[in-house]
Amino acid sequence: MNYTTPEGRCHAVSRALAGSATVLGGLVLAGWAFDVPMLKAVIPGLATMKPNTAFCFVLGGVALGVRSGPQAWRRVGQLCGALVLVIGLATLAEYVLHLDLGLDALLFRDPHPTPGAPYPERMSEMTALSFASAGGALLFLDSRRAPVAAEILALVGVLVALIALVGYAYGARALYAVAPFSSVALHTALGLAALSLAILCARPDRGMVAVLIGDAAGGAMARRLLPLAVALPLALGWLELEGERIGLYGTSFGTGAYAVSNIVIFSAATLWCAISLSRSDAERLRAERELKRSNEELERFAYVASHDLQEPLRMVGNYVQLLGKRYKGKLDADADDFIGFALDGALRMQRLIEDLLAYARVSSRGAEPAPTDANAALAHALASLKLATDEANAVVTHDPLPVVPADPSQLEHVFLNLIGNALKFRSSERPVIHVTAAPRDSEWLFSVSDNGIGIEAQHFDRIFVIFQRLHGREAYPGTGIGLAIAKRIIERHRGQIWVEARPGQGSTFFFTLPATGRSS
Amino acid sequence: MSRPPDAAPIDVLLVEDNQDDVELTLHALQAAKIRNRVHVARDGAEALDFLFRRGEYQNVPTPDLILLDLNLPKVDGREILEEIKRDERLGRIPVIVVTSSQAEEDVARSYRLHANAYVTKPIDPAVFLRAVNAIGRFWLEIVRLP
Amino acid sequence: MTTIPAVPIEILLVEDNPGDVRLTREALKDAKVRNTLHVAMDGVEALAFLRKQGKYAAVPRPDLILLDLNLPKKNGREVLEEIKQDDALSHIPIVILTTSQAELDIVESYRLHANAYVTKPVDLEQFLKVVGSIEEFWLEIVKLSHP
Repeated sequence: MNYTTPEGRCHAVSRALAGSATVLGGLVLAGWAFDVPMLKAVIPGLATMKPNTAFCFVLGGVALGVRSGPQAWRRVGQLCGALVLVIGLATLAEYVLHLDLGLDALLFRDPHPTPGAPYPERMSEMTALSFASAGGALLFLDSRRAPVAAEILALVGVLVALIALVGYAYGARALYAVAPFSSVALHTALGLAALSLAILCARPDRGMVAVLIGDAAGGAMARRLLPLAVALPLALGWLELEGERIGLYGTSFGTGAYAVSNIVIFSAATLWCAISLSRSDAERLRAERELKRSNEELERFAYVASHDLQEPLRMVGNYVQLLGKRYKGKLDADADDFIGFALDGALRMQRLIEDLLAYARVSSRGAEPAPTDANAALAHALASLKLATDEANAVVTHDPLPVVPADPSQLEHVFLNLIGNALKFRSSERPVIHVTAAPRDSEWLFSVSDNGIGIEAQHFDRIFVIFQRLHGREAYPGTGIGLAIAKRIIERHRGQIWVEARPGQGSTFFFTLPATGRSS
Repeated sequence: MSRPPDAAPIDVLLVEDNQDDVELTLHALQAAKIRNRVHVARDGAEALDFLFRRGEYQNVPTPDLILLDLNLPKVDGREILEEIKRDERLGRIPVIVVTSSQAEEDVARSYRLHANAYVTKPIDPAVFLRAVNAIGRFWLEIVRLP
Repeated sequence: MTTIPAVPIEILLVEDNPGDVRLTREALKDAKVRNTLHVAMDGVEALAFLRKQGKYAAVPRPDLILLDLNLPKKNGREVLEEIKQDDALSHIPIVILTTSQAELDIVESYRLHANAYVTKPVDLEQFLKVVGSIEEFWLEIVKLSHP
């Protein structure tokens, strides 16, 4: 468990809160089992937490606790969540439809029922609603299609708990007791708050929690203002009530003062927040601009360097060749060798510079991404590789590919490079290469897999570095820039590229591209 | 050398009224290393219609290279040369005058009207074939066309 | 018509890189048609040569000009424009021989009435082949104007 990142801390909080809810539920169940009044109703005379409520707290806590465990445990967790939902809905049904499903007293019977209470073991409507929401939230927690459902449902639980707790704080019974004999116990309210917050914190990578803990300006602002938004009205409200109670002022004065103080303090806080945020934002903008400028300079340098290097290199190459033509065999054998090495060096330098130029041109000559048919890009790449494919007697197959926002010639280049590599680094078997694309969240995940010589895990990152090669020039030709260019292209398209492979068992290269948005 | 192997074919417009010459030229260009498509116009009017995409020639491609005979029926080759080189879109297309005339006046005037090259048709068909081959080699393989 | 003329063809090469000058000279040595190669190292010199000014009073008029675009003082494009606008010189075929492959350069050159645009290849054999092809077409096949 990583406590250093905000997400890690969020997970820790979720666990702690879930654990507390479980312990609370367990203690109250023990209270019912062994008839300990203090566990059932924290303060004597107040409403008790009902057995099903305690049970639901245990279930909810477990459901959250097992989320990071093995598959079997996760199933149990899902079952627990479903059970919470069922209990909540069933109890609500009992209220709304005036039924008695017999589930309230299933676990324990109340040995000291309050006289006149029709169903002494039944949880209040608000609690039932809360558990129905919490159960639903637990089930939607990992949903892909409706992630916001979990958040909203969890917030319902928080709201119910808030209402009840404020009721207890201000002594307003109506807030936590909807009907006679049907009130939310104090520790129930606390437990509901804990459980609902635990559910919210269970997915710190999504929704408003992600925004809240993120380092974007919005999160920073929320982190400053949200505590104020909660604490200020509560504190001011309490002040106002107390003042009224001891007779310092009347209701209209009290409410007026309450309104004014809220307005003043909130406005001040918002302004202060805005000022400090725009300052940090301005700094960030400056840093961004600086980075952009230095990137552009670097690119221009790379371009100019390689462009200007080409001409003297051409002279060297051409004249060494001319020397070879005119004097080969006329000087001694050493001279022939020397000329050969010089020529080889010049040719390699030429290729390196051409590759460097191509690398620099990825952004300088890249077109704006537009909807591109990946099938067409692949087809063009395969056409260029026809000679190599035939020579290797390779089989290249592909699934239907989607339309993605891309620069068509650059996408083609990526396919060209990946499939070209698959052909180049083939094993003794007949090369079999397969290209697929599958949707993944808001992206497309492409893969190019082969049955070639594979790659050792320690080299997975190195191969994408410019001019890094894993094999000698004699074994496999090439300058080692192909994958670096592919990586640059993919990253320019806001995607990622990586490899999974094993020596002797082929390699699969993956890359992602954003899925065409609804509006683009 | 200058074009990738799977690039689009080069469109050549051959403006020639002599059937034998047309066949020889087609034959020579078909054997060229670089893929090319030859469109034939038999007289000046047809040539202009093709170039300015009039009538039945509304969807033809703009040629990358023009081989132009000077002595044509309907509209004279010299006029066509002038009209081509005056036009914004057509003016940059290389025009090679391939004609039987050896008159110094025709040669000078063609170059002054900005013909890119002037080639006199050899009488001997074998020599003619070699000439067209040379044209093909230079203009399709070596030259960068706009 | 492939005739070998008796008088050598005069070629003016406008090129600032001595290495390329020598390469071109070597390439033209093996030409089927006898030719004399004159060299101007920049645009100003080229125009002076063409207009027979100063030290170039007695030079022959070139039959063919090979023009690089990257020149000091006056760049190749300006030289091209000036020659083609001069009535006395516009009949001389100009073959652009340059390293640039930029679309812009190609289109501009043809627009200014360059007769042909050829990119200098990186490889020696290719370069020799290119010069050979230039020689074959412009010296053997083409009929040049001699006003």
